Formats: sequence, structure tokens, C-alpha cells
Amino acid sequence: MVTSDSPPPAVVRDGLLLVSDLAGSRQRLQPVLDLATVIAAESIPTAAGAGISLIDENGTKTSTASTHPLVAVADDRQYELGEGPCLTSWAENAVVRIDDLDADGRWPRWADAARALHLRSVLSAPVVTPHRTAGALKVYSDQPYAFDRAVEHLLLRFAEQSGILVGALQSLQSAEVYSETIKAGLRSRQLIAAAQGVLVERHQLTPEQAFLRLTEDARRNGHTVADEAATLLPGW
Amino acid sequence: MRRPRCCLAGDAVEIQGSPEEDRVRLVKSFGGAQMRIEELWLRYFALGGDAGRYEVEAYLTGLMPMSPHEHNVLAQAINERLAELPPPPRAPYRDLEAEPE
Repeated sequence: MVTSDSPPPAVVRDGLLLVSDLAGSRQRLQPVLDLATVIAAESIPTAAGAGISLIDENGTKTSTASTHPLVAVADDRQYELGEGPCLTSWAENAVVRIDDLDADGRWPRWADAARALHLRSVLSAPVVTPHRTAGALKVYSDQPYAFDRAVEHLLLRFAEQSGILVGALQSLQSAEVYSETIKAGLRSRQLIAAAQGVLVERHQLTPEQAFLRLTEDARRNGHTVADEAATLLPGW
Repeated sequence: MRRPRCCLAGDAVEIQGSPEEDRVRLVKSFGGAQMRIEELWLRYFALGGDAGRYEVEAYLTGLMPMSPHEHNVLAQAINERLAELPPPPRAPYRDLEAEPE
């Protein structure tokens, strides 16, 4: 025999647990970035290392991956100095190639920093998602003239594929934000249904009458219906 | 045990008018609630409403009827939104001592 003080039925609690399990992982981006750099580095034998950076609308780096610590250092210098081939590649949505850092005068401050790391040539391709240019994929070498036009095409293709993946993951993340709203809605819905159940038993009402009763009590107490429902379900 | 059709004394929930009058008043309240129909539907859903997004829209435009209960859930969704909004600005009073212009 169920009394009005009974806890909500187990099936309702099980439903809630199921809903909270739907959240899924938020850490899907990093493996994709790691994979993109490994594929680029292994497919381009003249590369000493490969890196990828995602850049937000303000030119700030948001995520990154690299196959070699030197790549990460050379990359960081670009964002510190606000200049460099990858920033240009991102900003202009174009492939940028430096055949020999000793002879290239386009980014002198960054070139000094990169030469100190014994880098000589760089190739950078934009990572384009369906919405924007999201970053750059690049390879570095300690030899001059390490990259030719064939490598340019190859890196551009990798960058395109990375952009598609990154774009898909980003829309998945905005879908997760939306699903948070839906989940909150479901939680409230189940809470109200359980409270209606309590009122149905306690006062022999129909569920529809119980809802109306909740709206009246909520208004009297300055609550939302969900808040009012919660007062009927201590320990929910 | 059935509750009487109208409200407790001095109360809260106003149940009156023909279904069409109530629908028109609900639409008018929705118009002042500063939310899009997607948000209305989500709130209605969160309160336990069973109609779909397009059924809600069809009811608001008068193309489809809705059961009294679903109407009530929709009304609650709108009223909870209205309660979140700042009240309209109150009319000002004037200083009796001030010089006439």
C-alpha cells in the first residue's frame, strides 16, 4: 500500500539516472588534434615535426597538439610575438611556405626565435571548418627547402580533413549544450509528474486537477511549479 | 472528489471564459512574455506538456484545439516567464509644491 509519504517510484529515479548518463565525454577534441599531427609528420618524411593550433576569433590559441616539443615552442613564440607563418596562414586562409628562414624577411622577430631553435623551413596550411578558419596545421624542418609544392598539396588536404573533423566535434559540443537544456527540462518534467502523483493519492484528484492545484499553490507561495513540486518530494 | 470549477476565494488561478476567449487571452499574454515559441515550448515541455512544438504553434494561431489541461500547462509556462520579467515602469507622481510651468 502506497502512502502519501512514499518516495517517488523507482522507475522515475531510474529514468533520471539514465538521462544523466547521456552526457557523454567532452574530451573528444584532443585525440583528433593529436592524430592530425601524427599523420602529417609521418606522411611528410622531410618534416622534423608537425603541429596544429586552433585559434579563436581574437587570434588567441585555444587548443594545440604537436609531435615534437620544438614545434610547440616555435608555435608559442608566434602567439607571444603576434606574428609568424601560422598566424598569417590562419588570418589569410592561405598556405604559407618558408623555404629558408635565413633568407625570409616576412616575420623577422619570429624568424630570430625560430632560428635559435635551429629551424630552417616551415609549411603551414589553414584548418577550415564549415563556419570559419579555425586554426593552422604546420610542419617544420631543420633543413632549408624541405617542402615542395607536392608537400603543400598534401598538407592542405590533411588540413581540410582536420577542419571537417574539428567542425563536426564543435557542432557536437553545441548539441550537447542544447541537450543540457533538454535534460533539465526532463528532470523538471519528472519532478512535476511525481508531485502530481503525490497529490493524486493525497487528495483523490485527477492528474490534471493535481497540476492545477500545483499552479495555485505555486502562485500563493511565490514559487514556480517545479519549486512547488519539490516541496512535496523531500529528498528528491 | 471534484474541485469546483472556479477558484478559491480571492485566488490565484482565473478559470473563466469560453475556450476561444481563453485562447485569445493566452496568446495576448504570450505576446507580452518576450520569448520565442521555441522557448515557450521548452518551458511547456518541462512542466509536463505533451503537445509537440508545432501543435503548440497551431493552437496559438487558432488552427488546432487543445485540451483544457494542455492549455493550463501552456498558461503556466507563460505565467512563469512573465513572473521573471521586470514589471512595467510605474507612472510617476508629481511634487505638489513645485512651481507651475
